[in-house]
Amino acid sequence: MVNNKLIFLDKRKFYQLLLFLIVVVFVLSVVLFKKHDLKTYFENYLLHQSIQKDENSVNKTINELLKNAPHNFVKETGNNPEIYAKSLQALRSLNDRNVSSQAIIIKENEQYFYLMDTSTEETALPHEPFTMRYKTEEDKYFEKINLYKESRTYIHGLADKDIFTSTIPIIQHQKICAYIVIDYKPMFFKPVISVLRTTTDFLFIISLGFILTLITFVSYILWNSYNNQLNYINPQTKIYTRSYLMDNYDSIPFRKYFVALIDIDYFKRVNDLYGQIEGDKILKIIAQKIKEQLNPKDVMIEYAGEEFLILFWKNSYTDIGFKKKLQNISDTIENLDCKSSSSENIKITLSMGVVLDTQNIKTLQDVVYKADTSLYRSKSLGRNQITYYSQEHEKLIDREKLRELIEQDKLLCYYQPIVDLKNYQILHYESLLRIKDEHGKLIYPDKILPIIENSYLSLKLSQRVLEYNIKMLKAHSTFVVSVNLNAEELLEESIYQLLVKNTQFAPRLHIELLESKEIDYDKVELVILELKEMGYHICIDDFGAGYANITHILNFPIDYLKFDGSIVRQIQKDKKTYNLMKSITDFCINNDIKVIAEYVENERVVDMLREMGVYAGQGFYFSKGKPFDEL
Amino acid sequence: MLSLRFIKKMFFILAMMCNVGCANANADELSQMKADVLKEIQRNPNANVVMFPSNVDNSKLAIVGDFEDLKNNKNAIGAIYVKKSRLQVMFITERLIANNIKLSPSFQQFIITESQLKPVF
Repeated sequence: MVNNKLIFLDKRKFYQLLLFLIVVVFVLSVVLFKKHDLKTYFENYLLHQSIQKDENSVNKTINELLKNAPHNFVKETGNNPEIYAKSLQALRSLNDRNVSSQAIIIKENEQYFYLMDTSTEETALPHEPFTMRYKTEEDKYFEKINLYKESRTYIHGLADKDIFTSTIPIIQHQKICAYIVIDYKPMFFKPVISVLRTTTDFLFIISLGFILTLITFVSYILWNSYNNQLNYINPQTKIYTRSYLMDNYDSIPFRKYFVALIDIDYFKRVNDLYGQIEGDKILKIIAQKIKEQLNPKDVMIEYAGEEFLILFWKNSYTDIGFKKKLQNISDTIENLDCKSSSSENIKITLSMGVVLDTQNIKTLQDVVYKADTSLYRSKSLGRNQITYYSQEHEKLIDREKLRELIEQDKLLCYYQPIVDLKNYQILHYESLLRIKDEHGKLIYPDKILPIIENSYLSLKLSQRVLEYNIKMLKAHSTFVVSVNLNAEELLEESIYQLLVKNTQFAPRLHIELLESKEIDYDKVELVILELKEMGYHICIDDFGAGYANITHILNFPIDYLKFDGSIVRQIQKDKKTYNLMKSITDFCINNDIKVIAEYVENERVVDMLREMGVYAGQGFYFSKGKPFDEL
Repeated sequence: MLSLRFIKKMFFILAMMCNVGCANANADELSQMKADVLKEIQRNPNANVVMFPSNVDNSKLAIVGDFEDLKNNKNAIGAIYVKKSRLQVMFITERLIANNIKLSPSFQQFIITESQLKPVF
């Protein structure tokens, strides 16, 4: 497969280009084979080279001629019989067995006349016309000699009799005053010219063959390029695939476009709820609806499963018009009457990251990166919105950078103690994720988790954190630690196997489950039961926030329940929250579930928690998260 | 008038000859055309312009086949010949005027003056 960078926007352009090439070939053929100009030029050039040795003797003769008549060659030679005789003698010196005649020609009133002629046959008289003003082949060569002031060798002749002639201008006082015309004997040059003509024909056939091969090759590349173009289009959505972008990163003139990266919000849920086939149908409708709103010069590319990269041709929009266009696209999709096969209404929204100033960006990759940064900004702000790129967004750590840092093992854990509220003894530590960036600066979970949410990186990160802490447990035999895991990650084979292989640490490893909405809790419950049997302690984390569900307390065989900081903070100010927390704490106590409260920030909260029977606390009041060495 | 028409016809043929010559026409073809011209003249014994006369006839105007004849024969109004494989066609303006012969402007390119016959530079 030819890897090329050519872009055809439609089939018609390909045919136009092919037609153009055919026309070029036709014109070249006409020039080469009909007019013969180039061929004749080449023939004459070779002939000139083959008799060039004569030029030296011609130059000598000219010098002698001009020496005889130094002021006005024509007048002095024509009117002075002595000089005329000397010149005739000088001209005769050019005679050899190949030459049939030598003559000096002069020009008067645009007509050429003989000044002298040395030949013995068909001798021309002085001032006999040489060629008249009618256009013979020879006249054309004379025009060229006058123009370039240099000699020419050419083949011409009347009827089928070829004459091989060299015409050399005699230049006196920077002007052509006369011409030496040497006719060569045809018998001498016929074999030469025959070889020359064969060579020329051969060379021209080779050249034509080369041109044809070149055109075939170019056509092949173009055809391949066109086919590639077809491969670049998703037959389902009729828009460009990501491979189009990958292959043409360097050739897309991105500075002429506004660039928007568009993501369909929570599309994974659509797939999960309605199935892949239904999801694909909806995706196709959305892609179609977006495409309908674009101008012909805009380019829409499938960037990832449910992400589209759109290049908006700048000349088609004003800045305000473009922003309106994006809002229209967003509104159209939001108001789309999208129904599942079971006639359920499906509400779809879009998040967008947009780069307006593409002019000063070096590569398309950079533009896409910036659009991606803005898109994640849109997502972190609650989705269903458009974010225009600004330098501020660079502060958000992008997913790609995180992936690199995780793969380079730049993660580490800080530890925050969980303290018994009765005696302030440290029960165990919660492991808190940190990632060190390339400058050694710590990146905190609030800048990591929103970015990797729902991506494979989330699982990878959890796995690394778990491995990190298992190493710590191996190294420190009295160390007890709790590690956060998303509930659905328990269903992942890699995590599950890691826990199965390290059951010797189970009594010292607490698993804090973060709940999520999109999982099969029946399966999770089974895994929790298995882990419990292995000796792991299970804790529900962030209770009271997000997706936390009270039924999980009833169903899961948990050891700990940790209240979310947002609840703990409220108990000082809000009686209802206090009462609710107390009721749940009572329920937990009665069911052998130990309650932990996070975000414990002062003594008053400790007192209140202790009062309601909360078992343990965690927060800045006791200690902030620290590296292991500082514990 | 008749003779002038004849000359015009001849010129037409000669102009054709010139073009054919440039395109490398067959030499036999050229000779044949010359022979045809001569036949035409023989068919018109009363013609007052003779093409390529074998003998000098002072009573008739002539178009000769050699530059020297043109110089020496005052009745020759022009010459048509081939020298060193170059076709030469020429008419002397003074002699045309003296014999009241007018040529079409398109023949201007073939016209030389009497003075150009003399080797004065």
